[in-house]
Amino acid sequence: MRTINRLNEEIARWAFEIIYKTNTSWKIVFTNPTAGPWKTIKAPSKINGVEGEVYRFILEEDRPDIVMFNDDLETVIIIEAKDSLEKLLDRAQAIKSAAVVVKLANILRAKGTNAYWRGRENYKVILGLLWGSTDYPENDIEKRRLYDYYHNLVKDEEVVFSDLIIGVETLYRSGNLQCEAFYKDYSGDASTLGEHIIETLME
Amino acid sequence: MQFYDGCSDGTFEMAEDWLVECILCGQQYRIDRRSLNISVMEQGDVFEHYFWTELTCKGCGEKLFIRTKVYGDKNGDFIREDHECDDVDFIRPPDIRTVNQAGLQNNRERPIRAHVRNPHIGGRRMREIEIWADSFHEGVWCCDNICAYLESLGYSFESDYLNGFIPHYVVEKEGEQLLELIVYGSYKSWNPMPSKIKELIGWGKPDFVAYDAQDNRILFAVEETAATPTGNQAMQRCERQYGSAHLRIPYWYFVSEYGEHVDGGVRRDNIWPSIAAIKLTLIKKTPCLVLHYSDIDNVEDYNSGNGLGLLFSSLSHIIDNYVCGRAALDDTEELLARQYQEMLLFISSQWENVIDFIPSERLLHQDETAKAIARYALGDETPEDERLKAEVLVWPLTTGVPSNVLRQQQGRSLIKYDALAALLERDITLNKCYILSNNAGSGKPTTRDKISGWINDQAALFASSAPLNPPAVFTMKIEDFPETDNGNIHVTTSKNIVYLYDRWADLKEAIEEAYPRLRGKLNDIPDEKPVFMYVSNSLKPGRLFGDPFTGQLSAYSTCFGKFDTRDRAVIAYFPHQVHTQAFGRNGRVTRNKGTTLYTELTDYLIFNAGVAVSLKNEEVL
Repeated sequence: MRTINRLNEEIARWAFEIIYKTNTSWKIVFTNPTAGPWKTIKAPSKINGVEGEVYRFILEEDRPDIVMFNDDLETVIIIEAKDSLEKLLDRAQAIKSAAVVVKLANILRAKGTNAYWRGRENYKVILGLLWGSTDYPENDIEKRRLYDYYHNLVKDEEVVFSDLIIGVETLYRSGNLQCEAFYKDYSGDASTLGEHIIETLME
Repeated sequence: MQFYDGCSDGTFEMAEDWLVECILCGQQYRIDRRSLNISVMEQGDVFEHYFWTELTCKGCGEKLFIRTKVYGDKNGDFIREDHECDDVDFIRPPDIRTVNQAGLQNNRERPIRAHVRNPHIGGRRMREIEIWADSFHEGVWCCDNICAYLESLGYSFESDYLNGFIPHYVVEKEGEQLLELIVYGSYKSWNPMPSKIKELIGWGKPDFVAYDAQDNRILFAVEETAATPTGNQAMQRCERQYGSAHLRIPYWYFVSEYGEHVDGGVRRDNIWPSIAAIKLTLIKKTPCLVLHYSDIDNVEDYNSGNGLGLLFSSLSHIIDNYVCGRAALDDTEELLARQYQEMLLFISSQWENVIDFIPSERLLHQDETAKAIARYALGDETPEDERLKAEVLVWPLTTGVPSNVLRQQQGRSLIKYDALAALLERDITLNKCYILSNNAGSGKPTTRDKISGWINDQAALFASSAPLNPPAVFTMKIEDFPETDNGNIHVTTSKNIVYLYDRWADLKEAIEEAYPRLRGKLNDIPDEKPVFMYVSNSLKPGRLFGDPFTGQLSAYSTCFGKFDTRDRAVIAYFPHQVHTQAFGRNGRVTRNKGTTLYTELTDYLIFNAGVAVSLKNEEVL
């Protein structure tokens, strides 16, 4: 079998996505590979489970890397992914990514009449960040710096639930990939939700 | 032949003892690597390094002959290995070391798998195909569909993830595990990348490729796109089509027939990828196909139309052949003919929306045409088929263009003046060349700021040029470009981007009139040779060797006769780009997919200020 010569965004993201082939709490409704029949957000109806199109990104439109929801927690996470934490901290990238989350949160809130999204339009929309690390995980100081940076970009956006920022690290070590999720609570009373999210994301 | 014993012949070495199992009784053995017999034999350019031993099985008394053949080149570089034996299976593949290298090779071209269950069943070795893909999603999509189609052929399958994330499928029939599919998403992330994959993606990366590591060959390549087929979208990917055909790899391009434009209207796909695919099939004698999905009521829907079914019935057929040890394209003629038929019908129903006439139109409607193309794809063409090849979709000289079409074609005024473009338009009126359509559209105007910045960038690139003789002078300025009503800037010179000249002498005369510094310099093409002239008005630096121009030029060059029996020379004209972009700091041609394609397909590139480049000769004129 071949080995990874460098951990890139595609692999870091994929390692996280495949958790949800078996995890039933969360459902991925959009992922952003380079091409293919995946350029639309598709979700199952809350009423009859039939899957259909919620939103289609147009050609040049900025899009997030992963959109996922949890009906039990009534929560949506919109994730930006990069192959390293440093790249997520790039100023221009962060501004663009936060803007994508805000824009999409507004779009999803306005989808109350969409047959496949109806009932989810008022879910909390949380900003998520996914990065790759090789051999050693990022330390807590760097992670907090990352969360704080993005929190500052969305804290005044009513459409985004900015009390929480979610982080996911894909660690490549000894030929294996392992994902771990984190959260940071900015309000002091969102930690219960944060714990539930982390617990269900990684179950 | 030379003989050795032990674990090494000085070139290759068995790094570990062999662990083997008698297939008759299951008795297992550890073979001391120091006890092996070795012979080395030259076979042309390849050296066979033969490691072997034998023993009598304690369990069943059978004589067991255990061997591993390692093939290397004359430099001692590993090519491949084969450890398949008749009466014994390796529990773990032999670990082979190149003696003159510090690290273990671990079967560079045939890697050891991490956890494969039952790699050897009943004396028949489970085969393995690697699906290399742009993304994991595309690789998994490929495997899911292939496995679903294999189920209809009596196979079943299971899937899991190697190392927790590498998609892995095991295909079985009647309880016997026959095939593994392993997905490697994101081409350049994996080590080692097989030489065949590296070679192919140098021409542009298909979305997924099936690779047989054991024989170091690619079984097929596929490009699929969800892009709306408007403008140049479908043509952007045609360099991959060319690359696969060039390397004689069966290739499918899966594209939407109907798409929704940003204006809300529905558009239908372009004819050129389909025409180029048919011509490449005839030229390279390898399957090269374009399949469409969607229909008018279900635009951009992968599951509508015939394309998806035809694609995966073809790919699963190839896989079935592979598993059964047949030639990859065995018994595919009818299936291919049906696909070529679909392509011909598509071209037939769409060409009038794109061009003024199409050569050999009657052949597009004949069943026999599709069958003949399918025979070409398999290298089974008949003498009768060769006559068809000389006729089907061959763009003629002006004398072969319907007179009413030719009469209507007149040179038109330019949007932005350019001396050579004006002469090309003049030559239409003089019947020295013809164009595809009188209804060609213009490019989208761009903001003044962008145009201004790009001109400055081009000026800087031009300034880096070595001195030319006679001198060439960069004079491009924003005042040369007309403004639209809303203040944007036009870059379109002539609306036409394709001119088909009967004689190189006529085009050369126009080029020399527009750019006198090129007089007497363009001497590599016979005067009487027909020519295809391609024009790109692009101004943005760096664009000319990227999308969409590389794909467009690949498709057009093929369509308009680069490889026809009466072949055309190919000239590409970039009035707003400067020549230095083709070269690196060392003065050599920069190597990327664009320059690779242009070197293969063009005779001359003509740049701003009348600088010509021959990429083949690495020469600036």
